[in-house]
Amino acid sequence: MEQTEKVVNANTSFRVKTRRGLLTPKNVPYFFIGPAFLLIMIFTVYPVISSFILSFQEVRGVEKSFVGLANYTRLFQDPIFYKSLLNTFQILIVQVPIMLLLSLLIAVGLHSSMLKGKAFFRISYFMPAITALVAASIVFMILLDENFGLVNYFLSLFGVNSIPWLTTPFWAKVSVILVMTWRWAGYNMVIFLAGLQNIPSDLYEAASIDGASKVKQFFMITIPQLKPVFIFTVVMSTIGTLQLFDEPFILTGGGPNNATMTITVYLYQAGFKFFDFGYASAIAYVLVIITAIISWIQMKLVGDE
Amino acid sequence: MKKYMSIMLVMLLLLLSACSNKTAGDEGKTGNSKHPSGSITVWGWDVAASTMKEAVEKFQKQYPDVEVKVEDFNSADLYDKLTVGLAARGSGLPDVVLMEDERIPGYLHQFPQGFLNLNKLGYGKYKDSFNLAKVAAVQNEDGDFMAAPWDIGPAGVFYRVDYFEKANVDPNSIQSWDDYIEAGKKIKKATGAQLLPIDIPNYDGVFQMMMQSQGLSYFDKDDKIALESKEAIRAMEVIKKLHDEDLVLNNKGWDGIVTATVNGSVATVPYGVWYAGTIMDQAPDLKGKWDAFYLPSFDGGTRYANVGGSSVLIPSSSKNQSAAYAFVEFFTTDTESQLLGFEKYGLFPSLKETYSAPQFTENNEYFNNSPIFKKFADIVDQVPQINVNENFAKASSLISNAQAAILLENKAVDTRLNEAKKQLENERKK
Amino acid sequence: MVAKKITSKIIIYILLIAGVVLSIAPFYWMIVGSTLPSGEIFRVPPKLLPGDYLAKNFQTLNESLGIAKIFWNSLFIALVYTLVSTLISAMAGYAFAKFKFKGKNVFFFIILCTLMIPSQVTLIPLFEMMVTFNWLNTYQAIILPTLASPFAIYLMRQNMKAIPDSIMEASRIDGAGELKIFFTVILPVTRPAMAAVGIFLFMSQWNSLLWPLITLNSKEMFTLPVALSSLIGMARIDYGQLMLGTTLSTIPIMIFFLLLQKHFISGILGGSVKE
Repeated sequence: MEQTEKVVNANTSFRVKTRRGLLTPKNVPYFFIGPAFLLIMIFTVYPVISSFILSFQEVRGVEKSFVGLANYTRLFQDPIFYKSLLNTFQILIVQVPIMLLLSLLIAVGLHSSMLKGKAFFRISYFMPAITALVAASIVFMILLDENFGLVNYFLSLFGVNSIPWLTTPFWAKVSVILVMTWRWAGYNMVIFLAGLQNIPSDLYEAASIDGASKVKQFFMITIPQLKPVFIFTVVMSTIGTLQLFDEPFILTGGGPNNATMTITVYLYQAGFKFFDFGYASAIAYVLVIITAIISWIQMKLVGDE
Repeated sequence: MKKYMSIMLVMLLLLLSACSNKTAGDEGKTGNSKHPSGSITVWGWDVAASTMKEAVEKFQKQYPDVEVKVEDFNSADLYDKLTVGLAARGSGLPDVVLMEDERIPGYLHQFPQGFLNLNKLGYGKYKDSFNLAKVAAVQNEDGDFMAAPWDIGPAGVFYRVDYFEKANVDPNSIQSWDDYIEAGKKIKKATGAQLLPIDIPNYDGVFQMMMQSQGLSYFDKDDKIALESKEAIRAMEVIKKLHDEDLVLNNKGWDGIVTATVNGSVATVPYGVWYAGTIMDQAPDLKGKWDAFYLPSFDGGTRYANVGGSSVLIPSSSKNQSAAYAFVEFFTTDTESQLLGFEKYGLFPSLKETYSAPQFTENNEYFNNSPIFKKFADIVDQVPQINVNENFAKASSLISNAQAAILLENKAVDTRLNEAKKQLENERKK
Repeated sequence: MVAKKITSKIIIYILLIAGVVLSIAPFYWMIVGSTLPSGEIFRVPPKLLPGDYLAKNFQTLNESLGIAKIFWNSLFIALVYTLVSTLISAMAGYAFAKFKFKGKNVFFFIILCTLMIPSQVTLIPLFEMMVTFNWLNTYQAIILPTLASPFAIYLMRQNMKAIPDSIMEASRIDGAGELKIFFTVILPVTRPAMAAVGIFLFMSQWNSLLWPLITLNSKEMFTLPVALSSLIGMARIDYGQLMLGTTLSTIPIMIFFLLLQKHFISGILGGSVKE
C-alpha cells in the first residue's frame, strides 16, 4: 500500500513559501512520532526484550542463570501446555465465528429496519463490553452457580435440569464461551454497524432499480462492502482469543481438570503461582509466534495488504 | 532529525532521574533494636487485617514511637504483589507480611534471601509457646523460625443437629469414614440433604485432611511423593464413594460452601475450626442447630488434622527491621490480641496459653450449647506433624485435577493418582 | 405485502429486544443486588425487585473503602490518560498516515508486533523499572507505561489516511506552520476518530486491574477495580456492598460512552472503511 499512498515529498516543501519556526514538512514527522516512539521504546520494547532474554534463563529468587533452550524444550514435552493450546484453539474455532455472526446479524437488524430508539439498542448491546472485569466476575460467579444461581433457576422454570456450569469440563468451556460472547458481541456489533453505515446508499438504490431482492442485495453489496471491517474484527478477535485470559481466569481459574486452561492463564500460573518466570516467558514467546503466524495466514487468505 | 530525537531522549531521562532521586531515607537498615521507632507497613487480608488493625492500637501503647500502617488486600492479590516485589529484588514490599502456612515453603524455596530469619532477632525463645505442628510448619531445615506462628485451623466436622436427630443418627457413633458414609445415606433419606460440599475441581481440602490424619501431606517424612501410598488411595476411594452415593454437593468456590451451609442443603461441613465464625456470622437463624465432632478416621489413623492457618514474615528488604520485629513479636505473642481475633472473627490462635481463657472453655449457645472451642483446643497438640514442602501448591492443584477426573469423568482411582504422581515427579526433576 | 413487511419488522424488533434483555439482565440483577443485604442475594427463589438496603450498603462500602477518594483516583487517572494518550496517538497516526520518513516502516512493524504480546509477560521488567524510577504507588506508574497504545495509534492512522492530502497542501500554500495545520485543520476533522479512540482508552484504563494492583500499595491511591478486588476476602464477603461497588464503577463509563457514542460509531472504523 505504500505505493498508493500519497505522501508529502520533498518537492512540495520547496514549492511552498518560507516557513516560520523549526518545524518543516521534512522534520515534522519526527516531532509527531517522537512521544509515541519514546514511550513505546521505554515501556514496551525494553520490557519485551528483557523478558525475551528471561525465556532463556532459569530464575531462582533474584539469581538468574542461562539454560539455553531448556525452557522451550520443556514446553514441548509439557502435556498441560498442549492441553492449553488445544483449549485455546477449540474456543477460538467455536467462539469467534458464532460471536461475529451474531454481531453481524444484530448490526444488520438494527441497520435495516428504521428502528426507533437506535441509540438505546446500541448502548444496551455495548454495555457488557465496557464493564469492568472485576464486576463481571462477581456477577457471573453468582449467576452461574450450579445450585443457587439465577441462570439455573430460570432454566428450571422451563423444566431444564440444573446444569453444572462451572464444575464439569464440558460446561465450563461452554460457560467461558458464553461469557465471552456476552461481553464482546455488542462491541463487534458496533463496529459492524459503523461499517454498514459507511456503505453508500446509492449502491442499494441502483440494485433496487435493477430488481435485486433484499437477500441478493445483502450478499452482493453488504458482504463485499463490509470486507475490510470483517478482516479487522476477525483479526482483532483472533488475537484477543489467543490471548484469552480474563474469562477463564475469573470463572474457573483454568479448571476443572485444566478444561479451560488457556495459554495466558497457564503463563500466569507458571510465573505467579509456581515462580517459574523463565518458563512463563518461553510460553509467552511461543504464543507470540503462533499469533503472528495465524494473523499472517488470515491476512493472506482474504487477500488484503 | 536525530538531534530532535536525542534532545527528547535526554529530556526524558532528566525527567525520570528527577522523579527518582527522592531516595528513601537512610534510617539505617536495622534501626535501634532497643527503642524501635519510625513507621512500618503491614500487609494482610480481610479479617486478619482487621485484627491487625485493632492490635496496632494496643501495640502503640507499648511502642509509642512506631507507626504501623496496615494495608488490606484480597489474598490472591497480595500474593501477586509479593511475588512481583520479591522478583524485583525485594522492592515495594512491606515490613511485615501475612502468609498462609502452605505457601511459606514455596516462597522460602524460591526466594531464599527474601525473608529474615526470626531466630536471629530473638524469636527462638518462643519455641515452646506454640503447638508443635504449627512450629514445624514455619521453621527452616535448621529449626529456626522463618515466620512467626499466628492462627491455625484444627479440623472437625460441623453438623446439623436437627438433621441428625431427624434421621436418628448419633454423631458419637461416627468413628470411621465408613460410619460417616452410612450416616450420610440415612440423613439423605430422612431429610433430602446431601452430606457435605466439595468444590470438586478446585478444592482438595477433604483429601488433605484425610492424609494429615494419617500422618502425611502429599509427601512423606522422607520427602517421597505419597500420592500412590495406600493412605492416599484409600482417602481418594472414600471421596469417590461419597460421590457415588450422591452425598457430595459439588459447589463452586467459597461462596458455594457458605451458601450450602446457610440454606440447609448439606448436613455436615468438614473444615477448620475458623469456619465456626463464618457459620455464626452468615447463618444467625440457625442458632442451636450446629455442632461439631472430630474427623472420622481410617483404621490406624488419628482423627485430627489442620486446615489453613497463617503466619507473619518479615521481608529482608524491610528498612526498619527492629520495628517490624517488635510488631511481629507483639502481634503473635500478646494474649489479648489473640483473643481479640478469636472472639471477633473466629481466628483460632496457635499461642497455647490462650486456650485456658474463658472464651475457650465456656459452652457456646450457638453451637448447641456445647464447649465447641474447647473440643478443638484439646486436639491441637495431637494434630500430626506433616511435611509441607515447596511443591505443596503444585501437588494440591494436581490432586484437584485428579479428583475432578475421578469423580466427574469416572477415571480409576489408582491410575489417576499414578498419573498425578508422575507429573509431580517431572516437575521436581526440572 | 405491507402486512408482511410489518410482521418481519415486528419479528426483528422482538429478536433485538430479546438480545437486549440478555445483554443487560446481569446489570439489572447487579443493581437489585446493591439494594439487598448480603444474605438475600442467594435466596432461592431469587429476589428480583429492589430492596431497601441501598443506604446501608453505601454506608458500609464507604466505611471500608472511602468511596470519594477512590472515585477521584480512578477518574483522574482515566481522564488524564485518555486525553494525553489520544493526543499522542493522533500525532503518531498523523505521521504514519501522511508523511514519509526514515524508520517509518520499521517502527510501524514494531507497533503491530507489540499488539501480539500478552501483557502478563512484561509485568516483571516493567515493575523493576517502576522501582528504579521510584514510582511505586504513584499516578504516573499507572498512566505512563500504556500511554502510547499501539491499537489507538493504528486506529488513528487508518482514520488519518482518509483525509485528502489537498487539505494540508492548501494550508501549506497559505503559509500555515506544520503545528498549526495539525491542530487547526487535521484534529477537527478527525474528531469522530478521536472520540472512538478516547472511549477505547478510557475503557481500558478505567477497568484495568492487574497493573494498578501490582504498583499501588496504599488504600488512598487505589483505583476502583483494585478497591473492589480487595473487598473479596477469604472469610466473609459482603455481597450487597460488593454489588453496590460494581454498580457504581460502571456508571462513569456509561456516561462517558453516552457522551461520545455518536462519534464513536463513525470514528471506530472511519478510515479503513473509506480506504
